[in-house]
Amino acid sequence: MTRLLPVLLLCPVVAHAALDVERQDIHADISGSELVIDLQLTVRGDGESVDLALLKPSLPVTLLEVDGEVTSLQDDPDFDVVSHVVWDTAPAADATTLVRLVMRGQPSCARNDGSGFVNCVFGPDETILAPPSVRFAWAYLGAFEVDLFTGTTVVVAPRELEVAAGQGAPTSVVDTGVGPRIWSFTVDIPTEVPVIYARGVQVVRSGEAPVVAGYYVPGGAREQLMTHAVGLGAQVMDIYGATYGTIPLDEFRLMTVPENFPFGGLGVLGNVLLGDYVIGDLDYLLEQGVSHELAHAWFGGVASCTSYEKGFMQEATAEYSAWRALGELQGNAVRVAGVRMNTVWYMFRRPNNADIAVLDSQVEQSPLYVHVTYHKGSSVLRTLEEMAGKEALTQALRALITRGELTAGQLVAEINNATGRSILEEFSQWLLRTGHPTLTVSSNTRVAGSGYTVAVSVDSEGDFSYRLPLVVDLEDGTSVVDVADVEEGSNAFNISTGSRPVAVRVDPEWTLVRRVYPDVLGDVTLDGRVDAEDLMEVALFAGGYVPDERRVDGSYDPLVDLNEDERIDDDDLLEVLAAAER
Amino acid sequence: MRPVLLTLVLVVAACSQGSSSPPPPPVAMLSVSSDGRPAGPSLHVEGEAADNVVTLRVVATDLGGILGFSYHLRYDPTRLRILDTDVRRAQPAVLGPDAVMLAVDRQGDVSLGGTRSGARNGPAHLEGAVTVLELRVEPLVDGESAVGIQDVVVRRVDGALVPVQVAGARVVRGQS
Repeated sequence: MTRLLPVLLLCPVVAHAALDVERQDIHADISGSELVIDLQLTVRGDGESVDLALLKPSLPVTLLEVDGEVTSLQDDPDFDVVSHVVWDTAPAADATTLVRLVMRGQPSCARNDGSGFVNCVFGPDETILAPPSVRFAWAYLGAFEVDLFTGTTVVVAPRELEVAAGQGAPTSVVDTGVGPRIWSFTVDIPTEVPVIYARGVQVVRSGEAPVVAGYYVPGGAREQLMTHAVGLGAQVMDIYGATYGTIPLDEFRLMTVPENFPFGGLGVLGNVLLGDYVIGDLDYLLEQGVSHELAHAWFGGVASCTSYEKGFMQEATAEYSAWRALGELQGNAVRVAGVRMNTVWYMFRRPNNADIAVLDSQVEQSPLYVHVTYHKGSSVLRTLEEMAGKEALTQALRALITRGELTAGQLVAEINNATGRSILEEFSQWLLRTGHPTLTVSSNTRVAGSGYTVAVSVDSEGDFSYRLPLVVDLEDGTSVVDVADVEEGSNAFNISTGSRPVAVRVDPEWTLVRRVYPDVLGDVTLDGRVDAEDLMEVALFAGGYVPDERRVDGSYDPLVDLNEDERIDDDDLLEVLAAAER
Repeated sequence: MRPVLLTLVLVVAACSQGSSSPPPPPVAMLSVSSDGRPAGPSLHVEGEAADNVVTLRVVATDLGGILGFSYHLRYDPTRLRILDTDVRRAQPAVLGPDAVMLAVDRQGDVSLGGTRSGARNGPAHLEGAVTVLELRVEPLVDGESAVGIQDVVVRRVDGALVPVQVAGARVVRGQS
């Protein structure tokens, strides 16, 4: 067993442990003043291994039994957050052995990292246990390797609380009329991220399968917002199921948690935890957040990462999937706005304009992780879709999910397979290198026969080759769409039109991480001259800005921010006037 | 309008023939003839002459609720001269008080138009016939001088293009 703890705590390697925990049956009693967790692990041996490494339990262990024999956990000699269950003799190959681990006590919920965030809340009014992690191992979690398990979760909870755990709807709720209720759930799809949620909440469910249930604290507009969330979630899950394959769960859950949990959203297989504020003050996060987190049922749920590529392969794919689904549901303009928002955040809000490659091996330790992973990475997937074709990319992602492993190398191989050509070079330039191309564009139009020819000039700075959508708007209200293959340096293209061209638009759907400048100052319609049409183009984006908050859509297009002050306003209109009079 | 002008010239000539007094000094005859007024959303040029000055008007018809408009007024600078020193002021505030207007005369190509300052401010409504430019020009030579409207772009606040018909005009100066 390779000892890779520091990295693996962030992104474990998917590989079956020598001793494989096949099942984890969790019995949690949250009805008293202490949290009591009784775990039963079904462990498959390999005939050689005698050691099961797990994250050190965060509650006092009151009992450890191996096949009925009482024993004790052993500390790891190197890592104080790791413990070991040790067998006297190696369990036989393909035989199973039972480990029972009982913990009891007050969970230490504070993260103690100075952030003020918590990993859990525990009390008679609400108990929420986020997935186990370092120093918060309330259930079994392999220390050095991903170890997926099925099983059950039983929760004994104060009767006034709604409980969610495991996967899908409860298999039973035992209510004797007095005292705690006993909720039972199954875990049928292998996972390593159990959660327990018990809160005095209302529950609203979407109508038709796939059912999405929303758990929320009543008050204000929360019911309305959660009702919207579950309805949207059900539609999104329908799309994901059709795109990536159906997940056989009878219910998916959206569960709001107090604001001192360290995430706006956390999606695991069948369960999404959302900050209360997502259906409150920060409800602009709702649609994106619900769609993104539900996508983790596939990206991080039924399939997961193998390495530092986790960010791209799980987070970027979830973000890409979210905007793709929202576009299908609400119109392409919604998707374009979402992709543009992500691209703008990457381009304009990186600290000190520093950069790191999306697939840099150190990306998870970088302060730029969020910028390049969620924002650039998801936009690059949009680029790959444009380059390979929507069907080919879908086919590739689906193949990865079917395999259960998400790796960048396999994604390239699957896209190659789907397209019949190698996309490695294009893939590498966006994901293994930093930066993005900067384009300077102009055009001029000449009469050609009964129509027109638009000569488009693109000067591309940066070592990138890409397919650039060019759209020529015509005076009759129609458009001519072309896609140009652009290389670094000067590029020239001719586009024929029947009707008179009025504007040239470069990559209007933001399929690329790129910045576009007009060759003629003020000529934001890129038609080679500055006139009142450019004023209108600026006015269409007036009010746009680069937000200071992530995931706020500032409707910002840097092309029309002529004075580059990160706001599109009257000053930019005046820039057009000044340019016109030069 | 050209037939009308010819008629006027003929009438003047007939009167001259019927008189026994000495012929009057030559009088510059000046007129403006519009090339038409298209149906539907349109921009057309019309105008009137007085002394040696022609007042041209560009009239927008039935544009409806719009973000703005852009067009180019084209003429031959060897034949016509714009008298207004600030062409931007020749554009009435039809797009509202917060509009930003542009007017640049590039010797025969006057780039005109403007926009509401932001699409979020809603449209300006140009219902019926609305004068969007009133410009004084002076013919420099006799004969016919064309004034055309080209490269028109009219947009709604959602960015949609409004198809627009155009018609120009001709300024005619002759000697009687």
